[in-house]
Order: sequence, then structure tokens, then C-alpha cells
Amino acid sequence: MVDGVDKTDLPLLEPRKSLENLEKKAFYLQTLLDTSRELADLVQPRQILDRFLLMVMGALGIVQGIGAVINTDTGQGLVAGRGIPDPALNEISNNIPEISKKYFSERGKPLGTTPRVKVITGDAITGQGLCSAHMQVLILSDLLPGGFSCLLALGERITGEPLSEQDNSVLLNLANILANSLSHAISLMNIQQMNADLLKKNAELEATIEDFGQTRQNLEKRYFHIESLMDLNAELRSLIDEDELLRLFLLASMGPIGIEKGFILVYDREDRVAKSAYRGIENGKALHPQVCEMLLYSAFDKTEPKSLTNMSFGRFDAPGIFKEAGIDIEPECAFFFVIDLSCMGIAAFGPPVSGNSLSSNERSLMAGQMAGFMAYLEKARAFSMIKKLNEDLTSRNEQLTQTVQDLTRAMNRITALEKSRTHLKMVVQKEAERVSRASWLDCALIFFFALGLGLLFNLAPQGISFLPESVTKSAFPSASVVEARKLVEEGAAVLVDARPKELYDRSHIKGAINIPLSLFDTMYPVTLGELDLKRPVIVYGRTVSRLYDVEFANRLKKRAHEDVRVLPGGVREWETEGHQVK
Amino acid sequence: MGNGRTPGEIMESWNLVKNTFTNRYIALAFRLFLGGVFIYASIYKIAYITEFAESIASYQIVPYWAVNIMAIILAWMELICGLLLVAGIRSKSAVVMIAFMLALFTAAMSISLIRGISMGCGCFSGTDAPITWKTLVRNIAWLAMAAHVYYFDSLFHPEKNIFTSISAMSHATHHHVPEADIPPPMRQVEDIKK
Repeated sequence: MVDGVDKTDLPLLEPRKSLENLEKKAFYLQTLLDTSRELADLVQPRQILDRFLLMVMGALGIVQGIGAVINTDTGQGLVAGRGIPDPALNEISNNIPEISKKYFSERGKPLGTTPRVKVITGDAITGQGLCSAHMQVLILSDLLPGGFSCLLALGERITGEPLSEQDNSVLLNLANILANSLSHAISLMNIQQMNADLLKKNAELEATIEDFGQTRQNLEKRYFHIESLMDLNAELRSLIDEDELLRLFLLASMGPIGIEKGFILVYDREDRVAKSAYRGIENGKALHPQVCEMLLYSAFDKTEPKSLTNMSFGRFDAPGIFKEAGIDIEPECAFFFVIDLSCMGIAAFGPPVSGNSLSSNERSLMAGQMAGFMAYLEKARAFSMIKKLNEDLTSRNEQLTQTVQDLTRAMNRITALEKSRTHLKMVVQKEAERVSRASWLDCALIFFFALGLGLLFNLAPQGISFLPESVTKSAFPSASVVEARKLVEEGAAVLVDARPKELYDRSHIKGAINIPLSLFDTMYPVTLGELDLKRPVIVYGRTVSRLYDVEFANRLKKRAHEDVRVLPGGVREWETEGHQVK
Repeated sequence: MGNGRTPGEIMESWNLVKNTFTNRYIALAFRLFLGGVFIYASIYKIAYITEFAESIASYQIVPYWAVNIMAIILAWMELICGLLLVAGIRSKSAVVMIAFMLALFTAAMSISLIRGISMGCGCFSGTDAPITWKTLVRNIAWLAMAAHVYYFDSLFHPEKNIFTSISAMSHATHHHVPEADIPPPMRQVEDIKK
């Protein structure tokens, strides 16, 4: 710091002057020391500037001084002044960007961390126009930490004397001290600022960590909800039975949130069929369609916004309607849902077991579950409908098959009947034609019919035998003409003509008595009744159509005549033999 | 020609005769008459079949072993044919058989007359008068009636009427059903069957 005092000049000066010089040097050294000491404790650039101006101006007897610390990057800074009126200081404060541009921008920004100090004196600063006051010294220091630069302008001395070389040297040393102090102060300030920033960041970080924890909790909760929603969906997906679907929906939607009581109703308005499920509610019973309609109407009335669009649902708050319907639940969250205009329903959930109200997340989870449930309910209903349609179709198919079979059978029958009819018609036509002409068949029929009837009728007592007795009875001993003539002439035998009287009258053997066969029973007693049974009886008389003799002989045999003979040749042979006929 | 009749008049007269001769009502009258005669004749024969057999035998044409059977058959054939003729059922066949029987009887009578056998004809009873040429002519007249009936009889044939009615009814009921009148299911079935 004292290197600026030239020690080689001391022997050349006068003792007094030398003493003065020494004193002056001592004074300057003391000033440098004091300045350094004063500035060492200060941490604020403004204070440093104020104190430095005070120290420099006091030591050098300068009346006016201006100091400015400028951030050349931003064009902002602070200004301190001594012996300068406030308007001038304000003007300088307002002109900081121009000052920064004027004194520091052209010099560039060489690398390095050591402050660079430059002292400009005398005429070199003329026309710089820093302020209205006349300045004789301009100290420029840049490369301060954080892009700061320092500008110091000092006015004239009270004495009016110009600054000596020694003064300038001291001034340079003082400027270095200022630059270092400012550098330290700025660094400190920066460190403080950084510390403050760090603290702030730390606080923010802690707040962020806290938020993160909260968010994580929420996310975990959400994850749990989504997982339960997925589980519900997975369980409901495979269900097609509506009752099971309702039961499982209540179970799966109440469990994750910890709801104690739940009730769900699905009502088919066309079929007037209600399906309901209860959970945590004692004495849950099937609801009457009228009760269901009342419940649905009340729920729809309280639902906002009211909508009957297919697959829509809305929340409603209607305390008391469930109690009125005999359902022991006071819902914390209730939904009115529409599958389609023919199928609507209500789902009601009581408060959680924990006693807390449902959070918005839980409510939105339940809404999500509700939407999923509706999709599966619609699917189950569609499946039921498809199943029903399928069954109907199968039934109708069977009916159709049956009908086709019936019709086929009927057609076959009709065809058969048609054939029969055609055949019958042909028969009828044939018969019609046949009856109009004679036919062998008819003749044969008449013949056999007559034969049958005749034979049947002939079975009566007055009937005749089919064949004459002469055919059926055994033959009788025949007598020759000679033998017969001898017996007759001797009178040993009786000759009987058995023919009808007309034939007898036409010609007969002489001596023969006529007993026509037809009159046998009448004439026998008077003709042969008295005859000895052992006396031979010779019977004759036969035509091509009648063997009277044989039949007559048969009857005699029946009357116990022992010797009955037949003369087969009859009258003709008798006559041929030359015997007498009459 | 000599009496001045024109061919037209002759033709007219011929037509009148022809129409009279072929008259259906005359044929009907003959039919009823013949039928009645045969029914009448058959009743006695059936009732006194033995006498009828004797009558047949008296002709001395039929072999002795066939006389009884012939009597039985002929008597009932007369009755059946007579009834059919009167009723108008199978009258053609009946009249043919009657004609056949008449021819048979006539032939038998002719033989008997030629042989000179004096006997009752046995036509209606066993006590009929002996056969004469008159009887033969009567039989021939009946035979002619039978021929007339065969050719010209066309009235009161209930059997024929019944068959004709059935045939006509069958024609009336059998009509084609238009496709448009078939109900749709039936048409589907038709399509399926196709």
C-alpha cells in the first residue's frame, strides 16, 4: 500500500518538507489503513460506497463525490453521493443504464475474477458528462463478482489544488481497497442471497415433498380404487345372471370404500318385474312393482339433471324415500340409472363404516363403478334377451319343423287320398260303364250267388239232396230180363214200374204194377204193404235224368224187403228181347 | 207304291215304327214284366224244389246226377235275375242270363215236343198244362222281350245313376287350387320340398 511513496526523493527534500511529506505519507497510509479497516466490517455496497466517499473525500479534501455500483448485465444499480444535491443523484440513478453502457459495455468482459481498477484524472474525464458537477477524478472498477462494476467520481478539492502524483497513487490504492471491499461485499451478498435462495428452495422443496406425499397418497388411493374398479369389472364381466350381477356389484362396490349398507333395484317396466339386492340391510325383501314405480318416480324427481336417455345415470339426494318404501337405508350416495326406457333402477349406498362422508374421489369411483355396472347389466339383459330369443327361435324352429312334418304328412295323405280318389273314380267309372253292359263277371257272380243261396236254403227240411240217392247209395243186385221174366211168370216175384204214370202209360212191361217213385209213400201200403218181405221184388224204370228203379229199391230196402232186384234194361231191353210190352 | 205313298211318307212311317219299337218305356215295361214273371216262377220252384227237380227230370235231358243241383241253381237264378231286372241293377247281365235260361227252356221244350213227350213244362208249378207249341211261342216271345230289354232299356237304373252321380260329384269337387289361395306356410313348405 505504501509502495506509491517514492523513498529516493527524501534526501533531496528539505527536512521540513520531508517531514511534511512523511507526515503526509503517514497520513495517507493511515487513511489507507483506516479505509481498509472501515470497509472491512461493511457488507452492504451502499454503506461501503458511503464510507469510502467519506474516507476519500475527507483524506483528500474533496467536496463532491459520487459512487455507483452497477450490474452491467441488467443495467440496474445503486448510487451514493456526498456533496451532491438529491436531484442530481436522482438523475444519475435514472441514468444508470446509460452510464453502464457508456463506461462498461465497450470494454468487454475479459476472463478473470480479480477486479480491474482504473483511475482517470484531469482532462481525461472532461466531457464525460457524468453529472452537472465538475469532477476531476474518475475511478472505474469492473470485473466485480456477479457482473457488477463500480464507478467513482470525485470533485475538486476545497483548496482547489490538483491531485498530486502521490494523491493519485493513494487514490489508486484506495480504489483497489474499494474494489476488493465491494467484491467481498458483493460476494457475501451473493452468498447471502444464495443462502436465502437455498432456504427458500429448501422450504419449497419441503412443501413439494409434502405435496408429493399427499399426491402419492391420493394416487395410491386412486390406484386402489382403479384396482377395485378393475376387479369389479373383471368379476362382473363374466356374469350373465342379473341377480348375481346385482349381488356382486353391491359386494364389490361397497368393499373398497367400506360402506356398510347398500341396496340396488332394477325394474323392468314392460314385464313389471323387479330385481333387487341388499347388503347390510336386514329383512331385505322382494319389492312390489307398485313400490318400485313409486321409488323410481321419487328418485327421478330428485335427480339432477333429469335424463331418460339410454345408459345414463344421475345422482340424487332424497332422504326418506327408502324408509317410506320399507328399506332400512339412509343413503350417503344414491344413483338413478336408465338402461333403456323399459328398464330403470336405483342404487343406494349408506355412509362408510368409518363415519366420514364420502370423498369426491370415492364418489367419482362409485360413479365409475355405476357406469361399468350398467354396461354389464345391459350386456346381461341383452344376453338374457338373446337367450330368450334363441329359445323362442328354437321353439319356433321346432314348431316349424313340426308344422313342416305335419304338412308333409298331410300332403302325403292328400296325395294318397288323391290317388285313392283317382283309383276310386276309375273304379266307379269302370263300374258305371260295366253296369250299362252285360259282363261275364256279373253273370258268374249271379250264378255263384244263386248257387250259394240255393245250397243254403236247401239246408231246410224241405230241401233235396244235392245228388240223387241212386248215386250215393250202394248198388242193388240186378236181374237179367230172362231171370226177371221167369220169376214174374212163375209168380215168384213182383215186377214194379217205378216211373211216373205218363211214362208207364206210354209203354210198360206186361204184368208190371206202376208205383211212381213220387207216390211211393202213398201207394206202398195199398200195393206192396201186404207183400211177404221175403218175396223178390224186381224194380225197373230209369231215364237219363232219373234212376227211378234204384231209388225205389232203396225205399223198399228201408221197408225191410229182403230180396229187391233191379232190372236195368227196363222196358227197352225187355222189348228188345222180344217180350211183350203193353 | 201302288197306293201313292211318297218315299218321305214311307220314311216317316218307318221312323214312327222304329221309334215305337225302340221306345225306352216299352223296354222298361218288358223289363218289369220279365222280372215279375221270373220272380213269380221262382217262388214256387224254391218252395217246392222237389217238384221242380222232377220237372227237370221229366225233360230227360239233364243227367240224373245233375238234376237236383240244376234245380236248386235255376230256381235261385230265376229269383235273383228277376229281382235285379225289376230293380234295374245289373239289368244287362240279368237279362242276358234270363235270355239264356229262356233259350235253355225253349230248347228243352222243343226237344220234348219233337220227342213227343207229353209233360208239364214246370214253368210255374208242377201242375202246369202239358207243353204245346204255344208254350214254345210264348217262350220265344219272352226271349224277344229280353232282347228288346237288352238293347233299348235305359230307364230307372239306380245303380248306374249312383255311379254316374259319384263320378260327376268327383269331377265337381276336384278342382285346381290357385297358388295365391295356398296359405304362405304351405307355399314355403312347397318351396322347401322343391
